Amino acid sequence: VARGQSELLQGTLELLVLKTLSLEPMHGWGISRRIQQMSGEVFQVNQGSLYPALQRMKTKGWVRSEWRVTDNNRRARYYRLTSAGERELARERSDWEQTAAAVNAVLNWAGGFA
Amino acid sequence: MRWLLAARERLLMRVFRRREDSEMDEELRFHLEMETERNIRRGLSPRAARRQARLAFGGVERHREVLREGRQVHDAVWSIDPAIAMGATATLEQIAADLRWSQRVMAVVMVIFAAIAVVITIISLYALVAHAVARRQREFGIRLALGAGPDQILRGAMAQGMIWVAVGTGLGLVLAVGVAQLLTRLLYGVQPLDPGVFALVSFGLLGLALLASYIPARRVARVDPLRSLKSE
Repeated sequence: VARGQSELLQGTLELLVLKTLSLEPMHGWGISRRIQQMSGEVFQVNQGSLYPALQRMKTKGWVRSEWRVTDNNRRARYYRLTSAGERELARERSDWEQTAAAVNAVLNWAGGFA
Repeated sequence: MRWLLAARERLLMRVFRRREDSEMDEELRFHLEMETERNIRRGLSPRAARRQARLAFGGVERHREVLREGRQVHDAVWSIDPAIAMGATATLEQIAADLRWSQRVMAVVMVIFAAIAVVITIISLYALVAHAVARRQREFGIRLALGAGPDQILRGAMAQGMIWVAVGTGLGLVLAVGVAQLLTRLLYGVQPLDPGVFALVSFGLLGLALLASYIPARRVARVDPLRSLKSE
């Protein structure tokens, strides 16, 4: 991994995939490109974790897959968010925000202890 | 009737799995192609683009394996209890291949060591015979002067070395039989005491030893007896 790029944090991949799929149904390659673009080319999505993650999310019923034809006439497997997936996204999102806020609170701590 | 149902079930399962596999293949191939085209748009040559895409992907076959095995095991476990946490899964075949890998490497290392041992032995034997023959040059000169033929000299010069080699080969055979017993546990599909292999190795080594002592011995047998006599 080159400087300025970074592997995804453990456990955040599913959250980012859910978010990406909430915008529109996408194929695996599109998901990895989107995440890379949206993160300002910081996150490299490792294919070795992306496809197993998609498989996992399918088993849990968060996404459904179907074969469709792309804009340039290719067959590709598209993943679509289910309503269970939307609920999961909301849940994981609030989890993440809570965690991020807590980490920031610790990092920005400037006061003392009474 | 029951077996018919079971057969139908198995057939369906096989067809279904085939389809899943080929779909997975197609999905991964699609990913590779898209990545390759993106690299071409970024200005790479088609070949470099394909290579880079493949590197970024890290071996299609591996991902396929991971996906397939993982899916089956995870599906099975989660159909019983979705709350169970599951780590990496591997088939027995994969584990066995990993285990065998170390043995294969050891075998290759052993072959290299053995080859080095043979080369060192042959070089040493050559040097030993050359030295012994050089020390007995005067004696050979006298023998030649007294009417011994070059063949007799040659045989005399080689005999000493070949006696060592014969004794060494005998000892080696005895040791090899002993060690082969210990190896039995590690061997698979190979006889520990294969007479063919033992014969081949012994005669091969004897042949090499003959050659290694023949070359210096021939040199002394060819020398003019007068020069031999004056050599010391």
